[in-house]
Amino acid sequence: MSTDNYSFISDISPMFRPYIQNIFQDLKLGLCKTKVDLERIGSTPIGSETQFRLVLPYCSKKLKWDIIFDPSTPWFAPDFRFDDDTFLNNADEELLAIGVPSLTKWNSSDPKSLSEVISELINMYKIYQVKKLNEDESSRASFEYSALLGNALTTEQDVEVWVGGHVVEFLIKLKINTSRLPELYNDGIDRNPGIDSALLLVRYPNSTNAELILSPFLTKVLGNISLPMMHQSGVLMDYVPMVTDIINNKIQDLLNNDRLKRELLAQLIVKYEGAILEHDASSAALLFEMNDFHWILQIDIGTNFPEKPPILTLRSVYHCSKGKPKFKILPSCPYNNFEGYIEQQAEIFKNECKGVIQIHQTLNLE
Amino acid sequence: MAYTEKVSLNGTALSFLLYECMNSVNSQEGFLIGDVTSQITNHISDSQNDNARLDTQIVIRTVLPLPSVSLFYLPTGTIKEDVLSELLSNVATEVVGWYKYRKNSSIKPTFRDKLISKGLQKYFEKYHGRKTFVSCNLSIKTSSISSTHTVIYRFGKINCFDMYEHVEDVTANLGEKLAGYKKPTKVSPHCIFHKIVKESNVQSSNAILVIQEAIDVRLIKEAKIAAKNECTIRELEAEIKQMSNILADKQVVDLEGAYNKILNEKFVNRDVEMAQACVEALKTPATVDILSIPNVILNRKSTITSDSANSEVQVEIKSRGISPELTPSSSTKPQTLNYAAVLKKSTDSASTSASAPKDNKTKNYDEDLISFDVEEKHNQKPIVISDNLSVGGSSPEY
Repeated sequence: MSTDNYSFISDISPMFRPYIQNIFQDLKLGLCKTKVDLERIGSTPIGSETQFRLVLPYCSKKLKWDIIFDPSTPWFAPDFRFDDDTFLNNADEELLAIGVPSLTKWNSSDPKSLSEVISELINMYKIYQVKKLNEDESSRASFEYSALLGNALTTEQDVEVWVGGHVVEFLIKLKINTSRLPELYNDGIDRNPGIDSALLLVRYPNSTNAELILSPFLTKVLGNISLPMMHQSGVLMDYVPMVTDIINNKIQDLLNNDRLKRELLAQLIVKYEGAILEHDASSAALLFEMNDFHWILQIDIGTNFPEKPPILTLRSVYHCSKGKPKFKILPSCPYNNFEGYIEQQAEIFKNECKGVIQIHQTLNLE
Repeated sequence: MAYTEKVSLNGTALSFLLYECMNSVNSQEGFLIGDVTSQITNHISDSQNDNARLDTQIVIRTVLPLPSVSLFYLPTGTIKEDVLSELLSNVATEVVGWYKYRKNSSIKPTFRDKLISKGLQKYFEKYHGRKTFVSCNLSIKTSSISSTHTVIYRFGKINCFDMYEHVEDVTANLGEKLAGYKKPTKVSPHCIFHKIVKESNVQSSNAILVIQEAIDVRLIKEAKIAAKNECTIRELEAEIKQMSNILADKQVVDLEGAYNKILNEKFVNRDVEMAQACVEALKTPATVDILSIPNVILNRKSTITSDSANSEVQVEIKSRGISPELTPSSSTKPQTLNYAAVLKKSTDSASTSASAPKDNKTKNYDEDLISFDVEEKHNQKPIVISDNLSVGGSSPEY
């Protein structure tokens, strides 16, 4: 919830505030939990606003729906203004009673009432868009939609359709398996607000380029994924499973890499058991001694392991420069003759550290 | 045939409408009472075409404000017909429209407004058989220091395509662009005026003056009754306002209470879930530890099962050297415990089986880096040692 929303909520009259607070907590939107915004309409004095505009994400658009409460009859259901004039304009009683039951039986003492009405209205909007899509049975988009749903991998809940003047957009939720990812990258909740989802945005006409929209966490983890081109003769029914597989494979690769990393670290720790100073899931610091010279070897294994080798750093326990221990990052990390290489490098490092001191001493003499 | 439709509102009706709206607290609804007249004009020009035009005029004479909003409809816009017939009783045949006033709002009709317009149109068609039913949306915008008040209003109706369309309205002298001679509005031959003239049979030349006197007398009488009624109405309105304030306050309190209850439940649930997760984590030892040192698992198991095994643990700690490996190879040394022993001070391992098990527990407990006390019965120390290290601590399986 951004600070703008928060300050606007305090502008809303306390009579209706719990409804809106509940929207930010509980609203079940279609495909993923994207940001819901509040906008101000009208200009009543602060603290007693009774109408506001809700900006809801749908497909690639934002729906701007006005919600109007009446403070003289706060127990009555709110009124709505939709930005699409044709939506629900010839609705009859039964259609509304079935589609929006929470509005027919508005419970004014339940803070969840407004969230439920909004989710039901969005559902009806979805149905309305699908109806609009199927009005032209012969269009490519209509065929693609029915084919996509026909193969039972994607359900109606996973697709949001938007029919504009000449453009039809599909937003498809991909079924990817992210259950093991938090083990790898758990930075805390602030930077990972949403559920992990990958969405595919396809437009008709011009269906050659699909857009992949990833949640912030997945973007960080997977980086840039370039999608294969969609051919004119290609069908969504085949393309969507293909993209899903690409993403799942990439996630699996990441998990495998991480396992290798951990195994390597485990082996190192077990082998140099008494030498370990500290370690965590991706690096370790060991204290070694050779010919009465002690040094610390720090092994950092990055997330791109094994494409990128681990970074080795030697740190001196005797010398420091500018208040920090002297350190040297080794140029490479060999997988063969590891110990020999380290011994060599340690010798060089020792001389470098000592050498520096010698120079200092000579300067002081003069 | 061309077809035009206009709403004609005389000054009195408009000012009454605006007066009622301004004086309401927040919003108001009501009905527009008047007549619908149509006339066909045939415009003949040189082009020999018959330019017939059907002009429909919806004349609004007066306004019937309702005491409160949301009286005659449900949240989904369905009309409550019994309430409506009670409210309107005998004026139902003269209703030509309804109005909705919202303070500080846009005059675009809302989703419910449109449904109500349609519903009302159907309802009143039964009474006077006319298909025309207008709706008026009004609003007021005030400048920040309340020095300028702007009233906006618009008439419209739901057409045959179920779309809301704007209907032009004309008020005498209000923004009219026509200057010059205006034709008087046609009066229907069945209107009251003609009826009075016919029935009173006044033949003298000052017939108008006679009629005027009679009207004056009658009006004064009616005015007195109206004044009394207005007083009663004001009292009733004050009572209603008081009661609705009480109801509104109660509603606010109920809603807040319900919301706070939900929040508290969430917190309690969260705490309960966390506690349960902790208990679960303690019960099940990590099945696959990334270090995979057989001894570690053995030691842990033994300490969970019996307290007497503590002594074994202590002895083994003592045997561990503190100084780090000088040369990398350490595989020859017997693997007694994992490297966390380095963290332990040598004094710690002094406890032998002679001392009470409880002392062992508490002593070692202090040395732990992270203390984790969910249930006192468990001896958490050994478990915590390995859990300190974040290597694969959270991974379920490998």
